[in-house]
Amino acid sequence: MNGKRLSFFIAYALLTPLMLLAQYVYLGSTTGLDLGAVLACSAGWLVPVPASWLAGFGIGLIQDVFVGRTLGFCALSLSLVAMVTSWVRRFLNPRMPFAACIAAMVSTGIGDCVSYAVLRLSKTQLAWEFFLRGILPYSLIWAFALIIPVNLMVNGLSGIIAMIWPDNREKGSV
Amino acid sequence: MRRLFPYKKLITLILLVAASVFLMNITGSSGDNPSLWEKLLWKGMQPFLGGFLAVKHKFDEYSVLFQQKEALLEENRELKSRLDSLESLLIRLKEIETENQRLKELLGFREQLEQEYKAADVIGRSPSKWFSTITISLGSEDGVTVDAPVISRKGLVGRVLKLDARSAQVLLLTDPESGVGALISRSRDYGVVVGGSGPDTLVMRFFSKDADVRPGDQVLTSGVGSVYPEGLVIGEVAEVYVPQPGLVKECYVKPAVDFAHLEEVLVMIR
Repeated sequence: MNGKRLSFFIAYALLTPLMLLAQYVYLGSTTGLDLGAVLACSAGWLVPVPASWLAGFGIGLIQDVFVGRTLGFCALSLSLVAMVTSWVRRFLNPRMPFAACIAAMVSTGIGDCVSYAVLRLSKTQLAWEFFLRGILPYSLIWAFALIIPVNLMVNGLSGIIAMIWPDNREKGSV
Repeated sequence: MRRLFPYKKLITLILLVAASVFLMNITGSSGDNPSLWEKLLWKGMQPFLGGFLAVKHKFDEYSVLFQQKEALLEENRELKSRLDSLESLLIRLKEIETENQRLKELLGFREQLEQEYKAADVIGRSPSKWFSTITISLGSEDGVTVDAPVISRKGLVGRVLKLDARSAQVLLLTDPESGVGALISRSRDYGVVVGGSGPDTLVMRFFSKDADVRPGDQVLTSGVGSVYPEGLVIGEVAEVYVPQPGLVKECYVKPAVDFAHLEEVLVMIR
C-alpha cells in the first residue's frame, strides 16, 4: 500500500467515527441522512479498487457499531456502495461537473435497493411505500448534496496526513 | 501469492461478503447477552460519546444564554397564563380521579399497583435510516431490564432492546421489527400495531374482519402479551383501509409521541 492510499485510509478512519458520532448525538436519521453511505461513496470515488471496497466495509462496520443491531449489515451494504461508485467512476469523466454527485446518487440508489431486498428477505416489515417515499429520495438528495464537501474534507485531511507522513517511494528513495 | 494476483478483486469481494455474513451470525445475539465483540466495540466508543455529550450540553447552555431577553419575558408571561389554566384543569382532573376511584371500588375492581418508572435522558439516536432506535442514560445498574416498556408524557415510546451497565438501546414503535398488541379505545377491537412505515406512521392490523374503526379513534395498548401493560396511549387512527379485497382491515396510526424530538423518557422498572 503506498503512502497516498494509506493517508486516505487514515483520513476515513478519523472522519468516520467523528461524523457518525455527530449524527448519533445531534441528528439521528430522522431526515433520512446517512453519512455512512456518503463516506462510502467518497471512498469509492477517491480510492482505487479494491482498496475502496475495504474502506466501504470499514466505514460500514463502524456504522454497525453505532446502530447497535446486526454487525455486518451496514458493512456489506456500504462495501457495495463503494464498489458501485468506483465502477460508475470508470464511465464518467472526473473533471465533468457533478460527476461525483452522479456516481454517488447511482451507487446510493443501488445500495439502498439491495439493502431493502436483504431486509425483506430477512422478514423485516419495512413498507414498500416508506422505502420509495421516505428513504430512497432522501438518500439520493443527501448523496448528491454531500459528496463534494465530504470529498473535499477527505482530500484535505489526507493531504495533511501525507505532509506529516510523506511517501518515501514517491521521492525516489528506497 | 503471485499466482492469486489476477483474482485479487474476486478474493477481496468473497472475503468481504464472508466477513459480513460471519459478523451478522455472531452478533445476532439476544439483547441481554451481547457478544464479546459488541461489548468491546461499544466500550471503546464510550469515551468519545462522553466527550460529544459534554460538548453538546455546553453548547445548549450557551445557546440559551444568547436568547433575547424580550422573548424570554414574553414567554414567561405566556407560561404564567398557561399555568393558571392548567391549575384549573388539574383541579378538575383530581375530581375525575376521585370519581374514577370511587367507581372502581363500586365495581369491585381490585386496585392495581402503581408501576415504578425511572426518568432517563436520550443520549443517542440511530444513525441508520433502516432502524429506529434511541439510546438512553439508564442501564442494568439502574434496574432496567430487557423488554421494559419505555414511555414519554404523551404515550408509548417502545421497549428496551439491548442493555449495557449504564445505558440501554430502546426499540421505537416505528422500527420495522416492532409490534405491540393494541386495541381501539371506543370499540374495543383488538389488533397489532407495527412499525416500518415511516418516522411518524404506524400500521394497525386487526384480528377481526368486522372491526369498528374510524379516523380519530384512540389506539391503546391491549396488554396482550407480557411486554406492555394495558392502557398506554399509542396514537390516533389517521386512515382506515383494506389492503386487498377479502382481507382484514388495517389503519394508519399517527403516534402520540414525536419520536424525532424525544429528550427524556420514562422506563418501567420491574
